[in-house]
Amino acid sequence: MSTNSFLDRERRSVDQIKRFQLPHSFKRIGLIVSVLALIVLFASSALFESAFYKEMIKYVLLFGMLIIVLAKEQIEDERIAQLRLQAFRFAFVFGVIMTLMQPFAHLFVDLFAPDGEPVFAEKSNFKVLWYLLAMQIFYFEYLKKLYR
Amino acid sequence: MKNRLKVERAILDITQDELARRIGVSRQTINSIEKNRYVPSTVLALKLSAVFGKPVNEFFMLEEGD
Repeated sequence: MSTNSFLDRERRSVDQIKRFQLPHSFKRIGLIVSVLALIVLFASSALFESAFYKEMIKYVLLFGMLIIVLAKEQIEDERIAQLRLQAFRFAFVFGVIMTLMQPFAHLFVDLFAPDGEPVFAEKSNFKVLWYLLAMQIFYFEYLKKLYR
Repeated sequence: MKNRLKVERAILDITQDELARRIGVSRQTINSIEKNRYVPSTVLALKLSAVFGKPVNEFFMLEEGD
C-alpha cells in the first residue's frame, strides 16, 4: 500500500469520527434521561441506602448529558458547527482550569481553617466530566441565543 | 466585512426563511449573516451567488481593517 493511499484511508476514518453525531431526536432522549437521573439523584438518600445506586445514577446522568452534547440541531449548518466548536473549546478550557484550581482552593481553605493535615484533594471523575458536559451544553445554548 | 444580502433578498422578493431553505441552512444563519454576526464559508457564499445570480464580491465587500 502506498503512503498516499494509506493517508487517504486515515483521513477518511478521521473525517468519519469528526462528523459523528446523533440524530436530532436524541436530544430529547438525552434531556429526559438527564432530568430523570437528576430527580432520582436528589431523592437518592430517601430512595436507596446503598451508595452503589447513587454512583450508578451519577453515570446515567453523565450518559444523558453526553447524548445531548452529541445530538444534532434540527438544522445542523456551518454556523451551528462553529458555535458547537466554540462551546467545546470553552468547556475544555473551563473544565481544565476548574480541575487544576480545585486542589489549590481546598489547600487555601485548609490554611485558614485547619482541620488536621492539609489535603491536596483531587476532583472525582464525575465532577470533572460533569463540569465539561454541563459547560458545553450551557455555553452552546448561550451562544445560539447570542448569535441568532 | 459588510454585505448586501438584505438588498439582494429584497430584489428577489424572498424571505429569510425561503433563502435559508434554498441554500440548506437555518433562518437564524441568514439573519446572522445579514447582521454581520457571522461570516459564511466560501461554499455558502457560492451557494448565495448561485441564488442571486451574481458574483460573490457584488454582495460581500471587504472593509478597512479586514
